[in-house]
Amino acid sequence: MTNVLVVYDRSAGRLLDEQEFEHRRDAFAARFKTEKLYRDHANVEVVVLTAQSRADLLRTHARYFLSLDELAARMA
Amino acid sequence: MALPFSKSQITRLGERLVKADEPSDEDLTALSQLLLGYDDTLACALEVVRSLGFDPTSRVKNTGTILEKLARHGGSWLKSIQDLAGMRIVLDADRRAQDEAVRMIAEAFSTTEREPKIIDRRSQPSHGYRAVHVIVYPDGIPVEIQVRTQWQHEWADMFEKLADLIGRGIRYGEPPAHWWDAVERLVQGETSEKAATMRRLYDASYRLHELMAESAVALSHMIDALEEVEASGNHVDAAAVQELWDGVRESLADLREQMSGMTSVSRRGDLGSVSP
Repeated sequence: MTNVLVVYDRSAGRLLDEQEFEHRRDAFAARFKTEKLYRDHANVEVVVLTAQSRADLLRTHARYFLSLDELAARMA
Repeated sequence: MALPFSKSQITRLGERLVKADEPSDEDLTALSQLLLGYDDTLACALEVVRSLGFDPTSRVKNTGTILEKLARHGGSWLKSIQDLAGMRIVLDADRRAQDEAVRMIAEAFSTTEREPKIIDRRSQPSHGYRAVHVIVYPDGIPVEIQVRTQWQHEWADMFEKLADLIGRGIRYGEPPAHWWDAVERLVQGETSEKAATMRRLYDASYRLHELMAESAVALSHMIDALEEVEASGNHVDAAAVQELWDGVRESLADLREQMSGMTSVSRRGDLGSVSP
């Protein structure tokens, strides 16, 4: 399984950081630490996603990883 | 595995979080501990769902969204929240396969002390959002499993991005967010003619945001109608149906293209950002 910490700026539609962890607990520790860093930034989303593979993450949560242009191209 | 707090402790924590202008470090730490408890249950539930042949992604709701929802629903909501722990499955299949997936998931969790609950947001959409959510209760702890078709997912993804740009309230049926305050500050000291021009531009831009939100919801209705036609097996001109699907695909791509040139309302404040 892969555990990915995602730091995403909603207002800019931009992925600020992405870190992969082998263990969920490590990913969560990083999440809580990162949430503190961005406490005053309401538009920044900090989340840990767990899936079997990166392909699964891209399928279910593409909005974090792909730009609007890339998402639009995917639909064409 | 049980949660590290009683229901009344969770209620009090929720109430403190919603009352405080700035949540204390102590309460945020307590919330973290609670979320870790949810995550343990979620990890077990994820394995059950994977064993059924699905490829879910799981997540525990982020703190910012929890605080946003507490502000919207009240502190006591924390103890009854059903989607603190959740996972998502996107099926490359039609609505019948979605029904079957939901049945399999509900059956896999039917031996727990509380029966799974199925929330069908296809027949009861939430401001355009359609999917089927199965709430399961391993260890008595709710875990929300979102089961979406590819089309339902594409729409939800697009709408989430639109909400990030024009105001997250649209996900709850609220109008798009305003940003006139930011523009007004810049207009102060300008001639009344220029201020009036800015106001006209602003109003026109805002109307475009409203129309984008309305178009997006209309698109969801179209997706729903087409998926229903496919699932029902009713004899409808296949070429006409395909043409409508092509239209949906183009409309989704158009909306995304339109959005890619926009500045989020929350980042606006200069005169150049008035046009979307």
